[in-house]
Amino acid sequence: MAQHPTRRNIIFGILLLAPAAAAIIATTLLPVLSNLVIAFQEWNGFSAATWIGFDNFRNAFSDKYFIDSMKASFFIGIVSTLGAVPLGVLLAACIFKVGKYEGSAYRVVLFVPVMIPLAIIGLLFTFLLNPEMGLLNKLLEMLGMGGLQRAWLANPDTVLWVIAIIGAWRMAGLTMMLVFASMISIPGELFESSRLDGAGYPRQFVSIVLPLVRPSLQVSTVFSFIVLVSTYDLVYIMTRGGPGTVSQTVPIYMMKTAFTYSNFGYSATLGLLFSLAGILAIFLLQRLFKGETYEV
Amino acid sequence: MKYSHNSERIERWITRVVVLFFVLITIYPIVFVTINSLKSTSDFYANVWALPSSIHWSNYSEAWFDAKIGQYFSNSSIVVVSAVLIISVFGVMAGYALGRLNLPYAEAILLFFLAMKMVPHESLVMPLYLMLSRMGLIGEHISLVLPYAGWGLPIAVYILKNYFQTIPNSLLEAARIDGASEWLSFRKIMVPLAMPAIATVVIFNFVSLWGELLWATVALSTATMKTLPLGIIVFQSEFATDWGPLSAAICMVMLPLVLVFLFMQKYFVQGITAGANKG
Repeated sequence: MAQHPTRRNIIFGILLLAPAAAAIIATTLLPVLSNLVIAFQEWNGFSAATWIGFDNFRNAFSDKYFIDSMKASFFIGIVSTLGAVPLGVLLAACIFKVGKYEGSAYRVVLFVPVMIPLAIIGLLFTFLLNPEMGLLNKLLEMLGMGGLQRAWLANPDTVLWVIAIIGAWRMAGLTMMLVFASMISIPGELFESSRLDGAGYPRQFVSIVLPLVRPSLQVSTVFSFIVLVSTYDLVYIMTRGGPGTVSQTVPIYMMKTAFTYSNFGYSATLGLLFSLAGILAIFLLQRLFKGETYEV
Repeated sequence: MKYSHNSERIERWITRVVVLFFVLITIYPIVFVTINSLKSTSDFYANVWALPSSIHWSNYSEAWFDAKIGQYFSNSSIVVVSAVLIISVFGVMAGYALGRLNLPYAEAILLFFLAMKMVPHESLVMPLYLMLSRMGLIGEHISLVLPYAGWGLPIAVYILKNYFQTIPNSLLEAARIDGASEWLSFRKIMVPLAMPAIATVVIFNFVSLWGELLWATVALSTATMKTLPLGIIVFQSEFATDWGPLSAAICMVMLPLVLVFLFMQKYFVQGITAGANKG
């Protein structure tokens, strides 16, 4: 039964709502509006700001460091999402098959990287990838493939791939968890009847499961992409954007522009452009997943 | 090929091998660091792969006291606990108002909150820094707690509002007939019933704030009061090749997360699902 809003109810409601609304407005709405204003100014943070119209935007499009940082961010975002999502799907498919209790233990382990902070993961892998004492180079040596040893994070050819692979390692568990959660709601009869028609598990997975779990697939793809495209912590800890500026992602470049070079106006412009590019990419991703949907 | 019991068994074994391979890849780096956190330096350089010849706890005390991980730990705890507390209290209040009080424009207000969640943090950090430094708050605990709370609230309100709407009306009606005021029925009936959703909010926010680095770097760059992720950076630059204490520090940062996760994974996964759906 719907309750009719009385005047007392409304006052009570506003009182309850006010603290949360104030906190959200103060920490998100005001900064984002202020960012919008600063993006059209030249400002070092101390002296008076001057309006310069679209100059910052024009500069950004001819700024090699900005273009390169966009490429680095999107490279990491795309490659690691392309790694994390299929891997997560594969893991969900396999865990579904191995049985209930055994599977739940595997799920817990595979989900652990998702909740470890990226900064700690960065530190962990700095250690594992250390050229002299690191696990990877030692492993290659042991396998007699010493020729493949690299200073993985100091080499301009490998650094972005290594970061993207670590990103995939970190996020695969999320897809696994979400896809598995929607797999267990698929009625068992669907599997049994296709079994009788002679379909093996890989066939069943592709024709029955994948279409049915598409919503979770979409959610985990978009979520993984959002986390990975704006990589800051991982890169900051592992390379500080180096070697040179090879692994400098947009957030790293923005922070440098604002807090090292005191160019606040330009940094705001970069943030605005990066946000717009990200929103466009997410919109395209959503379109990609559109199409016929099935109901169970 | 007809379905047979045999092919079912083969499938099961193939999938098991695949999963175990990835379980190993996932868990080994963490096990490796844990083992090395218990080794002495000579042990470590003798053979990286070997188990420690004797358990060497001094890495932990060295990291905790000399590298000040203990101090960072308590800073992080103060900041994260305060932020999570604010998120839960304000979130419960707002979730109840939006979910149960039939306020006009409730849907629009929730949509506004969720839209605020979509704003990328990168474009908030610098203007927020300028705002807080003008107020002289940069470097104080509050300069971390307030933004963390504001950024965590939209999803918290969303989760709690949905939960409050699943609580049957008859309970509230009964309380009202017994003469309970709005405030009393909110505090004595609704809040206790919402505990599972509150747990989700608490755990999800605890885990995501414990390692927050971007804002902490900006807000605390010059301060003596550093949180764990920042402390880890100081550690990294001062003790670069001191693998034992570094491994011990990594383990100490991860420990609270692993514990929270193992005992309350259900709530955490619910938070991720809700966050992923609307975040």
